[in-house]
Amino acid sequence: MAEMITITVNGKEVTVAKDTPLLEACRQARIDIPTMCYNENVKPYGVCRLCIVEVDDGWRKRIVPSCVYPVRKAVTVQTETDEIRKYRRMLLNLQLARCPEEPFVKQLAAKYGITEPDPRLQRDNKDCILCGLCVRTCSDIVGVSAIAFQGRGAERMVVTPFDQENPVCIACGACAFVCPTQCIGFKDENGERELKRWHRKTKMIACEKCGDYWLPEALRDVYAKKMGLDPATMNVCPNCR
Amino acid sequence: MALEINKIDPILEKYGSQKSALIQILMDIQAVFKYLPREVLDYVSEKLNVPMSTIYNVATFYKAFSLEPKGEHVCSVCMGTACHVRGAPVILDSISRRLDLPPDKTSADRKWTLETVNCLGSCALGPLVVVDGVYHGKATSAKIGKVIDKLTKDEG
Repeated sequence: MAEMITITVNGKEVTVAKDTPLLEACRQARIDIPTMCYNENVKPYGVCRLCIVEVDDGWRKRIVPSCVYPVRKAVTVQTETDEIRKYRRMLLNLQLARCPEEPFVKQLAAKYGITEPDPRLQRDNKDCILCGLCVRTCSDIVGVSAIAFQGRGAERMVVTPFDQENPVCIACGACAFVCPTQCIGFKDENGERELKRWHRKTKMIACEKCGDYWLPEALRDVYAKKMGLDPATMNVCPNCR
Repeated sequence: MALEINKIDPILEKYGSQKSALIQILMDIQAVFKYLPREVLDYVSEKLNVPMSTIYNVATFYKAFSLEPKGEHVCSVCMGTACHVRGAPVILDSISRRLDLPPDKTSADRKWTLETVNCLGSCALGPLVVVDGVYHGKATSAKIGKVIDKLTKDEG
């Protein structure tokens, strides 16, 4: 049994196992914290900074990103102070100036009263918020690492190596599934799967019984090899097995 | 290609083919080839068992790495704050016109590469221009022009 720690969030007491991310603890206390780069199934990354909260450990107060702050002491947490709201507004302003057309960003910004990005900020028209969920899913969960960040600073973007089709990609579509702005361009059509952003197109396998296209070829081959199975066993979809 | 691989294996061995030495390995490769050839990166990826995407990530993150071949001569103009206020943009502009080359590009004949750097740590010498590893402090357009002309002329 893990050691349990009781913390106070906005005056409410919550008891969680040691090393639980503070964000999870707050959500257990039914306190909403906005996030862009967090997904409970992927290792936290702490890059969007929206989940910042004020932590008082009895000695000093600090503002920390709660998704990468493990609970280790009985701390007191404030999640909606004026200061934090001010910082979140700044972050959302920057993100909205980068992606003014993205409903996901617009919605979050609207929650903080921002409908138009600050006119002092240079406007762009990107669809990717650089949360890195696709990159982390591909490497940590799928175990393929077909995509990565390229460059840094204002030029940072997610690409396949050399921005060309990557044969390593199994076209599983997990990246498109986790993407908060749906900007990967995932399409299943006429027995083909396309991931436009990664320039990836593969054939789908049709189920031998019902004829539904259900699995990309590349995925079948990689997983059959990994699990030591005959690829033919995957020619029937789970519904028909 | 076979010849190139001969040069890479000793580099990999030097670092015991450790994944953690990726940056060091790439630096050594860059020192040999003056850039990071794609086939070489494929080979490194396979040998170190590091995904190509990770290598590409590292190679594009650091300005010290180049994925494109560099010219025979490399001219780096410092655009750090001190050099900038002392007129680096004007010098860059004049070099760019003299070489007929936009910044951060290599000429089609692979003779010259013109690049900008953000600080070389010799701010007292600003504006600073490095031509083929030689530091030219307190640079002026005329001074650097002469250096470039001399190098171009020496080749006939």
